[in-house]
Amino acid sequence: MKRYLSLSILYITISAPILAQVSVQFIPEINGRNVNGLFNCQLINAELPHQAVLTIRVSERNAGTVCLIKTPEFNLPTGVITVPINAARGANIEFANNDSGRLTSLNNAFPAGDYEYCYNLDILGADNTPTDQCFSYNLAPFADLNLIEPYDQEKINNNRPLLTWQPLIPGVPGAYYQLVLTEIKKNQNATEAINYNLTIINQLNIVSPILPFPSIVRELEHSKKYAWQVTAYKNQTILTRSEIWEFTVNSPLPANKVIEDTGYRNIEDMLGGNYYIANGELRFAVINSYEDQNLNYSITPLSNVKTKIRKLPKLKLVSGSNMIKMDLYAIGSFTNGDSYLLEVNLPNGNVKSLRFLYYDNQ
Amino acid sequence: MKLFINSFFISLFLLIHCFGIKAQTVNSDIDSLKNKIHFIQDKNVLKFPHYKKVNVNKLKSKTNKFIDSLNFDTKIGNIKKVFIQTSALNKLDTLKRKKIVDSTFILSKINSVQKIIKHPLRFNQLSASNKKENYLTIFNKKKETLNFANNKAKQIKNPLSQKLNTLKKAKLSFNFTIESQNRYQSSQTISIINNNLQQNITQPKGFVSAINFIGNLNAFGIPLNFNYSTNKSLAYNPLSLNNNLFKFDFDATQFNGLLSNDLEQYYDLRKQVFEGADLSGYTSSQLSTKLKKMQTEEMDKLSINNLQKYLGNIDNLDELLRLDEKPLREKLLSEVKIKTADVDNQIKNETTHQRQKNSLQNNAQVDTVLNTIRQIKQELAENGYDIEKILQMQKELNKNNGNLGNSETAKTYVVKKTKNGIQGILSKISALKIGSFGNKIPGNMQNRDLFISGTSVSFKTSEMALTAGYGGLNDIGSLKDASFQSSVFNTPKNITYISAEKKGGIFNNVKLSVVSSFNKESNNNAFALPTISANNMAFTASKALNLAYIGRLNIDVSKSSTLYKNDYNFGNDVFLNRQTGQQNNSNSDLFEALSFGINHRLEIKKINFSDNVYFNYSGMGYQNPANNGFSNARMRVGGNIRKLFYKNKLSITARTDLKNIPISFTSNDKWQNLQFQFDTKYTFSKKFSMDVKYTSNTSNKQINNQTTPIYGLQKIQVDGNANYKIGKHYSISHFTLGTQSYTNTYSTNANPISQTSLTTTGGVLPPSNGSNMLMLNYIHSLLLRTNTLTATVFYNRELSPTKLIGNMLNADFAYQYKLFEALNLSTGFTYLDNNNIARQAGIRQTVQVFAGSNFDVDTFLDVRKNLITPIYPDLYATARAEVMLRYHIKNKK
Repeated sequence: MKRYLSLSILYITISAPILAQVSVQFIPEINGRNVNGLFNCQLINAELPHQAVLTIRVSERNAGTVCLIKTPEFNLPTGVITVPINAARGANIEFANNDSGRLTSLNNAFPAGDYEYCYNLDILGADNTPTDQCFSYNLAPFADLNLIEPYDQEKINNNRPLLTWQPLIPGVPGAYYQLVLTEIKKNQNATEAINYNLTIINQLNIVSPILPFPSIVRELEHSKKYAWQVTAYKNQTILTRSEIWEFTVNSPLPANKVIEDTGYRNIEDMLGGNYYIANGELRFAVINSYEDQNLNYSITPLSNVKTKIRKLPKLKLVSGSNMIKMDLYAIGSFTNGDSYLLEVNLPNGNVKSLRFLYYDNQ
Repeated sequence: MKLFINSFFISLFLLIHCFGIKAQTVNSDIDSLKNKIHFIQDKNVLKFPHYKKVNVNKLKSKTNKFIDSLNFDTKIGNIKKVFIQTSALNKLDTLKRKKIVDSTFILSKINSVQKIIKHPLRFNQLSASNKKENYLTIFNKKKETLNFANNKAKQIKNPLSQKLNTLKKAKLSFNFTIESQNRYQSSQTISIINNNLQQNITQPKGFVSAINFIGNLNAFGIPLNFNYSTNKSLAYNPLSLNNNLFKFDFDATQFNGLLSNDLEQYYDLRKQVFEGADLSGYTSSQLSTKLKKMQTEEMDKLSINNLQKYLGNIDNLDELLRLDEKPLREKLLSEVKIKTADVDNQIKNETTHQRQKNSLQNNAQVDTVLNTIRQIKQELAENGYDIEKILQMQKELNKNNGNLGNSETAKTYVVKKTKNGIQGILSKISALKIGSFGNKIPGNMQNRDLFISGTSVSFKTSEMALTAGYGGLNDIGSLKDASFQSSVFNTPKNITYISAEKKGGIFNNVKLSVVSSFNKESNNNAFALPTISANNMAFTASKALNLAYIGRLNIDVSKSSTLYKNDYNFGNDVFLNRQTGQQNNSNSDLFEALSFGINHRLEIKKINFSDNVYFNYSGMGYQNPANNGFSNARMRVGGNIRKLFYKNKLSITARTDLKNIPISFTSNDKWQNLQFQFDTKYTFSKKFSMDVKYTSNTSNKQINNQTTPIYGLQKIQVDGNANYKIGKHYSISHFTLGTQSYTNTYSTNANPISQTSLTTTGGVLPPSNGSNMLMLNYIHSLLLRTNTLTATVFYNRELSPTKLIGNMLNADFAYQYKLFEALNLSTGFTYLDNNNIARQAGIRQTVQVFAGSNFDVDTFLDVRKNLITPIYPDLYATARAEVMLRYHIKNKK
């Protein structure tokens, strides 16, 4: 707000010698890009409140007048105001009967060219000559703001990726980038994630089209999906945005690995082949049709059948289907490449045994 | 002592299962009681002489305890196994060894107990004829104990109903997660410009927080997903409840998964209940087990064998299962009689008693068979299964070797069934979204989501698929945009859309969509933004072609138009300065506002190949409200190809996108952009893999048919991953070596930050000659059982005088460890040096607490000390703290 005030004061000071009473401020490099932006101007009235009509004429050096907008009467109070919403809503717009006018009317955006935006503010019921102010700008529409890396849907193996995008073309003086990165949660798509979730990175004031993953931010987690988007802006106005891309982290770090909770086979099915390789852990599914109870099991090394593995974790069976995962590596009593025998007393009274080969999970 | 225990146990069984309480007080009545018992049940009952020695009360309390333990184990359903598993094992073994008792005998005792309980009158009569008072006392005591036993026995469900229970789908299930995310970062860059919001959100400064409620609910077979977030939506009044984002969608995929057809139900039954067999097979095996048990009870083995043979034939069972109780009994009795007739003839000299005995035994067998069949039928019926249908399906499957065949009945088995009216309606809905959601709007030519607040619904019938929706769109909508007031990227608007897709016939897979939007004013951060009244529409026709072996092809043709309010007569203001050569050619209008798209997808699993290629052209005047941004004029072509070689050891992915963006209506001037990525991964062994990636992005400006390069980026990156052992411990190394060259010959605001201060130039500098960087990233991790030691180094070196991010060293060293199972901690040191722009050193700590499966806490703290004053403080914060509380609520099935 402060910035706004100071800007307005600045404008008033600049424009004061030229126009004593009423003046218009318009920034064509931001708002001169499409028809809608034309209303995004400031009307400064140093006099008493009046009724006024605003006419905006946009013309291009080669094409001539492109469009003409005329608002209905509106109240112009003393001070700095934007065009009242009702005045904009009720405004009539006429496009030139040439290619430029016609195409602008179709897609709303001004093509490349040397433009002049003229604002004519006619104060009704006063003797003042209408205020006529023109702003010129050599406009070139923005190219798409493309993200470069990580590519959309890519699986990256870096917890702290370097984020790269294409610069704003053409450049606008005083424009910066904002980069937003957020996690995509279950049942969300990338667009929802970027709006719903607290952002992991929301970095403004970026000048280069590249951002090394901020050192202060916690590293990204394995197997999680992330969405990111870059926005180019100037002051408080968004100029253009990139698409929202997503990537998945496939971390090389073992410590962060959340092992996917899949691949459980029913213990009864596993007995068929009777050959199972346990890579660091043993997984099986047991259906317990009875009350909650502890699983009664034991593991015997086949190299020494007289001993049993001690310190086995207590496994609780709940009523229904149970996914049992035993981190054998963490138990620490297993030798790489050795065979073991697991004996499970199932709740239905059956005793199942499974021979497995143990390998460390690497 | 042993003797005592033995005697205790034997007496115990007597107490529960027969009239075996014979304490001192009732010694004199024992003999008469014996007779009565004899009369009622089993001759084996009084095999035990030890009962006299045991005190009644002591026995009773022991009995209760025993029944408790017994009861627990009988849940397993097999008394024999029970005793093997309980502490009674040894004691029973002793008894068995002495040939006093066997476990089958114990089982039969429980049955007799229950029979007695069921006939108290009979018992009463018995006792009345003798010394009534004494007997009554005994009777009451017994009855009490027996009732107890009976109640316990009642609580034990039979195994069949337990198994059927596992197939039941919960009526109400939910899985919610409530997350509270809180973060503090010094020199936080979210500068919230709305004072109202500032008070609400950023107190104290640099602190942001959001509560996210996410989950799914499945009530009466209707699955719903929802998400609620307090991440403020800035488009509304800060005091309004609508501020928070909310969405709710009907999960059609899950819903279809929940609905099952008869065949699926049948397979579930077979797999989970019938032990892999069909209904007849299962019944047959159940009957054979039961009959075998009777055999051990010294029944006539011959007749049982015969009955078993009859029941072993599955075709016979198909018939038996269809019969009602009476005909079933008759049928079984006749079977037993036929089979035993020969035997009867052989033993001509049998006594009457033996004949009676045989007949009784036959009846008992038939009873067992009858009861078992009745029980199976009853349980299935109670759980909503139609036995007739199961048998039919079974027959159909057997006839066609496990396939259903093509008969009309067979077809009905694969039709998904709905259980109630709501489910019936919902089965026609393929998508329903309410609230603020991201959605691809039909007729959109970018294949990108729009974030809308509104409703979208898709219906499908066998002939038609319909999608309709409406909603509000605002480019500035959530907390991430708190720093902005307006956007020239997109206008706030209300959007409505409808699309219909025909299925079958000549117009199979032809989809027509109409999207319409009307501009609305927005109120971002209390900043009103006026918009012009305009109505924008697009009509799209799409056709999907399924070309089997050559993949799937999508063709879209779209036409857009925009209407403004222009009923005002400008009079003399009409354009006077129309230039020559700018005459209107209204015929071109049709093509200028036209868009055409084609998309091809193919996946050939056999040769591990997949591709996705697209081409899209939009004319200069094309503006589709379903697309993002203004002026959709583009020519885009691109795609990706992926192929795997050498048993998936080598994978090659190539992706490219070419865009031509025309910028002038009068000339051929345009922006050109080519993006390309080539990625090849090779896995040498489980221990070593490599990845080489080449990325290139070039942008040109084409003016008067002369192409000028604007921006170029070339990057080559080599990644390697190796696992090996250091001593006993596993170790992982990952390195990335990359070089990135960058040229910028046009005035963009991609400015080398090292050249001058931003404040004086406002962020833009003259074009630079480009920069060259060498990047190295190395991660080394050592696994010490459950703990991990990790060192990470990122180093960037600028090779040219123009610097993009400066020479940067970013290193950290962390130790991750576990405490008390539930605590996962990591402690680390960090160091950052960025070429005189910033230099920091600090510590980093994370603590994760897993309190059961319902609650976890995740905290993160990073504090640093500035060793030099950073030039851009908001890029180099000195503190960041995060606390995330997560609560999972899930109901048990």
